[in-house]
This record gives sequence, C-alpha cells and structure tokens, in this order.
Amino acid sequence: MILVWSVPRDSAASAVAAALERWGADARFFDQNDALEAGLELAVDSGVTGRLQLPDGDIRLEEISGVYIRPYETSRLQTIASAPDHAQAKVAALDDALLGWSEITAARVVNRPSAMASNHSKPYQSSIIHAQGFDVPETLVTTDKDALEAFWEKHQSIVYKSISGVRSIVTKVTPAHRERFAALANCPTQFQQWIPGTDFRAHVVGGEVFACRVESSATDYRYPDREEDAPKIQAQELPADIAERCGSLAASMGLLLAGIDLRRTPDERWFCFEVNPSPGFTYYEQASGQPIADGIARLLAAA
Amino acid sequence: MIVVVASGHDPRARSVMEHWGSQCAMMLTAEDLCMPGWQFTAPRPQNGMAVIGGKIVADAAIKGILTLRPCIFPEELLSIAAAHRRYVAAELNAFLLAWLAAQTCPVLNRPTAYCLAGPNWRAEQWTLTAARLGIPTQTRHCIAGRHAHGNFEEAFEITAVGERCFGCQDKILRINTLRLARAAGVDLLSARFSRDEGKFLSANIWPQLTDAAVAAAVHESLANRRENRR
Repeated sequence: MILVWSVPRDSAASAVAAALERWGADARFFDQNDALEAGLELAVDSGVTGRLQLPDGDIRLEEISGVYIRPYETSRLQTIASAPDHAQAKVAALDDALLGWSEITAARVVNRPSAMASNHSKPYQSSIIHAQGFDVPETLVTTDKDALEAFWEKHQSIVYKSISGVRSIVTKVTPAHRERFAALANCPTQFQQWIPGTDFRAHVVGGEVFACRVESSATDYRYPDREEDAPKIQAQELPADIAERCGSLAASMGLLLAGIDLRRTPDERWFCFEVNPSPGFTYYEQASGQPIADGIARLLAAA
Repeated sequence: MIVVVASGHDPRARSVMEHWGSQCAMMLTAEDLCMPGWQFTAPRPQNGMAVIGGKIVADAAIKGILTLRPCIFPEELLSIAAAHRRYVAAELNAFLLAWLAAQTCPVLNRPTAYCLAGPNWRAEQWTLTAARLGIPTQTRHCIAGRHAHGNFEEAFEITAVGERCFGCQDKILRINTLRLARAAGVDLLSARFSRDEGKFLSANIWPQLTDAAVAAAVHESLANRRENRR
C-alpha cells in the first residue's frame, strides 16, 4: 500500500494521488483536515509495526510500502485551528509521531524528513552541492556593512535572499539599498554574486531526470515584475554529465525526489543554486508536459 | 578559545564553564548573532569572523565548540520586534548551522541539518538503532498524543566523550554506548540501561556535564585536538 500524506488542495500531492490511481496502485490519501479523527500507534524494536487510524479505516503500518509526504502545518488548517486546544495538541502529537515514523519505516519515503532538512539552510546546502561538483555562487553572510561593501566591490553585481528555507524574492542590491545597510547588524543576511545565464529546473525522480529550460529576464523568474518577464518553460534535456551530476547530488542527500535549480552561464558553466526536497513540480509539469507525477507514482509503486 | 553555544539562561552551560574555571571559554548566545561583526563566506570559508560573548573574534582563534542547544527559539529573541521573531529565528538557525558545519575545529556534537547539536533522534529511532546493533532493548510503544511511559526504573548511565566512558563500569554497557555513539555519528552521548538485564532504555546527546571528570574530558576533547571534517 502507498500512503499520501497532505491536503487535497496541494497540487503536487493530488497529482501524485491521481497518477497512483491511473497506475492502479493500492493507495490511501491521509487528508490532514481529518487529523482530529486520526491516530497512530507504533511499536519499535528491531522493526517498526503499528497502525494508522483514519476515518475511513485503519492501515497497518507494516503494509505500507511507499509514502509520499507533503504535510502542511496542521495548526494552520482551518478545521484544526478552530478546534479546542487539547484537540490541537493531539493533532500536533500525531504530526510529530508520523514524521518520526516516516524517518524509521522500512517503506520507501519520498522524502524522509532528515533528508529534506538541508533545505532549511541555503549556505549549508550549498556546501553539499559544491562537494558534488557543481559551481555555486560566491556567498557572504554578514552583519557587517563594511564586509558587504567589499563583497559588492569585488563582484560588482550581487543579490540578497533569505538564508533559511523561508521563501524570499531574490533581489539585486542597488545603491538605494545603502540606507538599509545599518540594519544588517540586527540579523545576518545572505548576499551572493549575481550569475548571468539561462535557468534550468531539473526534477530528479529516482533514477530519472526531467529537465526544463526557463526563459525570463526577471531577477527571480518566480516573481516577474512585468508581464514580458513571465517565464517561458519548455522541456529540454541536460547534457549527460550534468544530468548524471543531478542524480548524484540528489542521491548524496538521500533524496528520491528533488527539484534542482540550475543556471547555465554564457561560458557553459553550470551553477546550482538550490535543491528543493519537496518540489511543487506541477507548475513545471503543466508548462513542459513532462510526466513527473507519473514518475513519482512509478517510483512509489515499485517499492 | 573554547566556545559554548547555548542560551545565556542555560544553567548547564554556566555549570560547565564554571568547571573549566579560568580556562578560556566564551558563550555564544542568540544575542551575539544579532550584533555587527559576523563574516562568513561559502562555499570556501576563509578569514571568517564571529561574535562571541559580545566580542568580534576570528574563526581561526576558536579551538573547539560545545553546542548545548537544538535551535534558537523565536521566543528568546526579545530584542527583535515580535512580528519578526519567527523569521529571524529561522534565519539565525540557518546561519548557525552553516557556520557550525564549516568550522574545522572539534565540535561536540557536530550539527545535523535538523539539529544544531547532532542527531536529535526520537526515542523510537534510538531504540531501532540499538536493536539493529544487537544491543538488548525493550519494545518501545508509542501512541500519538499520549505521554510515553518514562523509563524511571533504576538504570545504569554511561556518558561517552570521544572514546572515553564515564559512569557505570560495566564493560559491555560501555562498549554498547560507544557503538551507539558511532552509529549516531556523535562524540558526546549518554545512554541508560536497565540494571537487571542491561537493556537499552534511552540515549541523550545532551548529557549532564555536572560531573567534573566528564566536564574535564569534554574540555580536553575540544582543546587538544585539531580536526578537519568539513
């Protein structure tokens, strides 16, 4: 049996669930909106057994062979947020227990929480990416405005973005930002050399790589300022060595599924910015026509 | 300099620094991370600068680091506007992880992507690891939302610091503690075993450091060894 853990409005989870259905796989969707009526019992020694209690029937944990997890912060779901405190605490404990189980179960988990955690620190993750042979942008994290000025002088064109996994809009540093440099002292901030080139997004699914090219003149193509900057996405194969490196990178991080952000420079260097361990792949799938959800379903069904 | 990464309100951190007495140790707090002076470069850290105990110091001057916290919590960032504390805490944790992981000096315990002080495993994962190592265990039962029964039974406790063990003298239990530490990839660990059958009960990557011998071993481990595990 394959378990999908998320909410129905999540497009990636729904796409995987639909693909599993198309493949005729024995699959169950644990809708987090039902968490108030759910429970989990675990028994651990040299193996992991137990049962997940869902409103539409229990599942024996040892019968689960594959898991696709894309959980939301349950406390923010309307059905849960309006429940009494004790019920919310029970749901939080369920989330924690299920995450713990997904860490130790023998089932194929896409992806285990510990493998996903490097995405919470971009400079930490970039050291892993660099070790796998990709170029990564020179980066400075600082609370020192003089250090920032020197870094800017050295690279001429730089951007800033969040250090953590909190989503931020990549923004070029301009002279107008200087009036905010004093605020650097309050919190370390991440700056990177600007890398010119063409963006690519590679989705690694088990041993498969689905790559697409993203054309946009925006600094951050996810947030175009103007209509003409809107990204144009089309499927494009990567050079064999780059595709292989993407697979190795995901494997080195223990990821069965990864969305890898790449940029090819005019002089044919391949920079890697980030590895997303829980990619919202449907955006790229719809634009490129690549069967990513089917790939994930195949991966889970083969477990 | 030895750096202790901890909350300024953590009595364990103050205790271990008191044990070390005049030996040079400084505490790195969340407040230090919100002060001017930090410089960290990636992917090749060089000439890094840190702020420890309110003073700017070169990374190269740090001989060892003891981390006594899993993360920085938003609630402790009192100097940050309440609306921004959650975001700032995420940024500080992300930065501190990258900084700790990049240090070439001994770090107890080296951080993992999900905990600043090593693998912050749940009890179930420790039990599974112990059982798979062939260490006698009790089956651990967990019902989500219900407090697990604590292992309050009489227990032997052993603390491993590197290859040295403190506490119970039982040779097999000491070996089992070291095997668990190796399996978890940590240099600092305490483990509890039942007194009757020597069954594994629990493990902790934040052992008590009130024992003078343990505190001294930790200091020695941090101060007298250079390593480069980056």
